[in-house]
Amino acid sequence: MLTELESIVGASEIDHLIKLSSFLKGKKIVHINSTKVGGGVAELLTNIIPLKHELGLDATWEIIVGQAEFYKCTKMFHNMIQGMKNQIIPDTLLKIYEQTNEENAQRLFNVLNEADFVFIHDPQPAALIKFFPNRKGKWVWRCHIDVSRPNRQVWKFLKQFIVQYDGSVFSLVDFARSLPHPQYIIAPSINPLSDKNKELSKEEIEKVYSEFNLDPARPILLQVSRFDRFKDPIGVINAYRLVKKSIPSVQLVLAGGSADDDPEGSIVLEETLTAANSDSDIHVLSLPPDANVTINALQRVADIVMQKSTKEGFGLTVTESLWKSKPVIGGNTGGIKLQVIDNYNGFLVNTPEGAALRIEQLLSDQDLFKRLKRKGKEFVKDNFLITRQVREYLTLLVMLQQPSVNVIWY
Amino acid sequence: MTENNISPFEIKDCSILSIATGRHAINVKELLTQLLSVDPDSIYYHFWGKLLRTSFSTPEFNNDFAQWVSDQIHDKSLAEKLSVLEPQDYQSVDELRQEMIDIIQISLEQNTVLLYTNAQEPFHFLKLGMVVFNTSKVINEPLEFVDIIDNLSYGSLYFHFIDARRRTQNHRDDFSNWIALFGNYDDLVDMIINIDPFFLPLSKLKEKISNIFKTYFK
Repeated sequence: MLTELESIVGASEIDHLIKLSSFLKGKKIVHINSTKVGGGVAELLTNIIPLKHELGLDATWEIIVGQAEFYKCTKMFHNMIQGMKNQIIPDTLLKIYEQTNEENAQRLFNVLNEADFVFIHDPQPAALIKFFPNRKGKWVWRCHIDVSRPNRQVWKFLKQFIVQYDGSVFSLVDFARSLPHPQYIIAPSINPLSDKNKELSKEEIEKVYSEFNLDPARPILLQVSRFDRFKDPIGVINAYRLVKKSIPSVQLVLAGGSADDDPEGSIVLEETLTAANSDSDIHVLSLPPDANVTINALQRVADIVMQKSTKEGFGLTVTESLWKSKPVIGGNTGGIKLQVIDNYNGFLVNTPEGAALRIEQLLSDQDLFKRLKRKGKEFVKDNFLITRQVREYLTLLVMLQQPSVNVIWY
Repeated sequence: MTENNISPFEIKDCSILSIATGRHAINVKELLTQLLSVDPDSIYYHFWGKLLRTSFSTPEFNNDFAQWVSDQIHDKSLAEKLSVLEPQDYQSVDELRQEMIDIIQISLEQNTVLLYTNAQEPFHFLKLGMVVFNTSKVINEPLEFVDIIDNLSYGSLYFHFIDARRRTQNHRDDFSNWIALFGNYDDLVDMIINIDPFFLPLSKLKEKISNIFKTYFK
């Protein structure tokens, strides 16, 4: 992978990674999250772990497992941290959350207690740290979601665990909280060599036209995301309907998969199908978690990619689409704001009406459309490829060894 | 040692990380309050960090403070006054801090609307974490820069040409300081010193330095 990445990012970037890795030789690094498939975190780890191995690092990836009630609780965390109101998590569910973490702590005790660095991703495994009072290494809480305005009950509950970490990592500075340890800002990234992003043959790309009954002669709008209310699939359908009045040829694809740790996916999928109301130009696709080449091809056949989220940790589908030189219409929230620059590589919108306006504008003005397409790939190459993220993770690990020092000399 | 008993120039590289300080400002008055006591490293970050962190194209203003005042407080006049500050013109970050404080205090006195204008998005004070390490590249004569500069990583360029200004006694870059030791490259040293790095992205800065060496040694 390193050789292929070198052809994209250049030799000096790869040399840089090799050098940083040399300071971490022999250290055991463990990443923990709650699913191996589905969702952005699993995807990131799928890409990062093999790269760390190629760099000679001893990195492993473990998951915590739980019963349905555990995932119900963590989904409520997810929703309430990102601002969903009028919910209270019953104490019984909070107890199950802690019990599940304790059971996983027992199962993973030797691995975690002896690790030099432990990355705990998101709230699901956050309580593990409580069960390692004599841990050997540095523990970091890596938060991928938008915690800028969390529900107080959930944040207060989680904070009792998070304060025990040696550091936190957030995707955006806006998400950083008041915590008694260093808070590092590291944006996620995409792997340009993964099935989701690699170059495809013409046949592989065009296969999706027949597979999903799409008309290549008509404009295609696409949103790729889990069926989650914060991704606002219904808002996308409403925007499409507004566009359809003036551009009847438009087609919409809503492609999503499910994640093991998301019990609400099927409910939101049903809501989306109901809103689509059997419109033959709306294609709601529930894809398996490994349909990466299919998503890659859909992103390449789309004219405009949407990510009309109302809350978003980062929005890797935006990065993926920009990498494929597609203009993106994104919700004016979270990490999307870091990636979509109005009138440069897409547009930020706040409402379905705003999204409809920008879709019509892009489909009507070919010069604008071509200009926005050109900018995306270069922007991602400079800022959001996996090499940059791994470099920052390695820098973090080196810095964690001397957390009170701002400049470390080797 | 070179023939002139000058130690070879060892090219270093660096990797940086943005670290939140936990301090924020929602209006200019809060910005002023925070500036009074914020870690000097944070002020440094908001002037120079733009060169190495994830960012979009070339921003309208030259430092994060000016950009925020323009985008969030919508006071172009204060943004412009903050934007002309070039950190290399000050002996220390604290001197730069004092200049910013003066500019903001005067603006607050002259334009009381600033006291009541809140930003939609706060200014987050960040600071820089940095890991510095040796590369295997070593230069024995100034001529060798001709072949080295084009292949220099942005981390190396940042470390030797930007960060050097806060490490060296004369607040200059490492390249010109080392070449000056030879004593017979005054024109070249002057040309390098005269580059103003504050307005250039690292890609353009590299090009400019490279052209100077190529032209001088052609």
